[in-house]
Amino acid sequence: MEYVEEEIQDLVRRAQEGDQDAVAALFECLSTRIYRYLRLRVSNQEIAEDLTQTVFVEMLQALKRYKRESRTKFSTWLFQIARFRLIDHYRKERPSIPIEDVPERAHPNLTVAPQEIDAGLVDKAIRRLPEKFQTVLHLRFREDLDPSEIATVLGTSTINVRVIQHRALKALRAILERNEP
Amino acid sequence: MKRNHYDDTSIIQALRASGTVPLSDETKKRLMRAILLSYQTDDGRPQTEDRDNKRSSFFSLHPMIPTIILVVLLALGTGTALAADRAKPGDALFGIDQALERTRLSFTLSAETKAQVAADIAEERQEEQQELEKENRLAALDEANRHVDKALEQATETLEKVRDNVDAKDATDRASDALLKVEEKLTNLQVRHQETIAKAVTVLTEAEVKLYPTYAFVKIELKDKKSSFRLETVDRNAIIREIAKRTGVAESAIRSVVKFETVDDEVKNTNTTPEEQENENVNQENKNENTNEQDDDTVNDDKNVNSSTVNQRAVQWNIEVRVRGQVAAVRAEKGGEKREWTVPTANQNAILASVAARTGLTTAEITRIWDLKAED
Repeated sequence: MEYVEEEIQDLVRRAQEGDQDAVAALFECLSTRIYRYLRLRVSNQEIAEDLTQTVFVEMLQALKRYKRESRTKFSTWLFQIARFRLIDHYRKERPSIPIEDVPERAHPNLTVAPQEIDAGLVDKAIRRLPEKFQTVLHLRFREDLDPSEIATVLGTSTINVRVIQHRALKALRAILERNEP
Repeated sequence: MKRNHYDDTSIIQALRASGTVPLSDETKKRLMRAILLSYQTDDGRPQTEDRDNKRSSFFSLHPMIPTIILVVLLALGTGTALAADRAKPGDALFGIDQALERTRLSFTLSAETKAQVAADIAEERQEEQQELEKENRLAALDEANRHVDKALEQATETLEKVRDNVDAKDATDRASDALLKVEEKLTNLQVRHQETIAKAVTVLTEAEVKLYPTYAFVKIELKDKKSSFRLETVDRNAIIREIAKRTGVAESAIRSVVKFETVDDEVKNTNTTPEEQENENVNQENKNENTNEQDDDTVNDDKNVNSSTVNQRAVQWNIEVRVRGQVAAVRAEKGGEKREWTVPTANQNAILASVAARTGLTTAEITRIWDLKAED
C-alpha cells in the first residue's frame, strides 16, 4: 500500500503514543525501501536484514524524540539512521574505497555513441564507489529524493550534494567504461 | 581492449532500472516480529513515556545495554519465538508470546481472518489456563483466568466490528460462513470459560478470614468439608495465596467468595487459644451482625474488607440480568459508564462469575444488588 507523507506523519504520531498497529504500518510501508538501500550496499541478504532490523529498532527507540522539521519527510530521518548503521557496519567489516582509488575516465574525448547499460552491471559498479557517492546516487535516482532531503540525510548542504552527485556519476561512468565492475 | 562509452542520461536510466531487491512477506514478518520483541517490555506492553524515562536514565549509565539486548534477541531469533509461543501466564516469555500474537493480528489483513486469529488467541489462552491447572501451578491460574477473560472480550469486539463491516458491504456467503464459524467457536470458548470459573466458585462455597492485629484465622468450606487454620500474616494477598495453595482453588475464585473481617484482639480473653477466640468471635459476630454492617466503616481496604466498604462499593453499580433460555443478557452501569454483554448460559454461578470478572465485585456483593429476572 502506498502512503502519502501526511498519512505517514499520522502513523508516526500514533506510534509515538504507543499504537502498535501504527508501528506495524510504518514498518510495512518503509521497510522495503530501507532494506533495498542497505541490501545494495552490503555483501549478503542476512547482513541487510540485520541492519534493517537495527534501523527500525533504533527508530522505535528514538521515535518519541522525532519532531517534523518544516516539510521534511519521515523517510529522510529513517534513511539518516540507515546510513549511520551502514557506516558502522563498514567500519567493522571493511574500509570504504576512497575516491582517490577510483580512476578517472581514461579517454574523455572518445567519440562512441552512448550505449544502453545492463542494470546488473550498474548494481555491481555502484558498490565500488565510496559510501557517500552510493548514498547520493541511490537516494537521488532510485528513491527520487530532492537534493535538500539528501542533504539532511548526509548532514551537509544542498550545494555539496549536487557536487557529490556530479562526482559520483563521473566515477561510476569511469568504472562502467573500463568494464570492470 | 574495447572500451564502452556512456553518457549521464544512460547511467541515470540504468540506475533507476537497477537496484531491485524485493523483500518477501515472510522476511518482513520475521523482521517485524523481532523488532516488536525488542520494543516490548516484560509484561508485553509497549513502552510508555514513564518507562522510557526510567530506561533512559538507567541506560545512560550503561550505554551498552540496549545493544546487548538487541544482540541477544538477534542471536536467539527463531528459538526465542518458539519458546515464547509455548509460554504460559507466569512464564518469563509470556509477554513476548502476547507480542507475537499482536504482530500476527497486525499482519492479518482480511477482516474475517482477523476475527479468526483473535478467536484462536482466546482459545490458546484457555488451553494455557487448562495446562496450568493440570500442572497444579495455582499461583498463575488467577492471572491465566484474567487473560482468558481479556482475550475473549477482545475477540468478541473484533468479531462485532468485522460483522458490522460485513453487513455494510453486503458480504459474500463465504465471509458470512467464516464469521458464523468464528462466532460458534467464541460461544463455545465463553461457555467453557464461565463453567471453569463457576466450577471453582461452586467448589469453594465459603471462605471467611478474621484479621487479628498480628495473625489471621481462616475458615473455609470446600465441597461440604469445613476446615480452619491460623496464618501468621494479615496481608490479604498472602492469605488468598495461602488459601489457593491449600485448596487448589484459583485465586480469582477465592477473591469472589472470601470475606475479610478485622477483629480487635484486645477485647478478647487472652488466655484462650485462637480457635476458642474464633468461636467466641463467631458468636459475638452473629449477635452484632447488623450493627457491624453500619458502623464498621473505619477500616480501610481496597477489595474485600468489611461490610460497609462492600456496601459502599456495590451500591455504585446498577446491575440488571435478564435470562432468556440459555442466554443471560447483562447490563452493568457505574457512574454513567455502561457495559452490556451476554453470557451463553443460564447457570447462575456462571453468570455471577462473569459479572464478577467484569466489575471486580465479589459474588456476595453482586447478589446483594443485582436485579436478576428470568424472561420467557
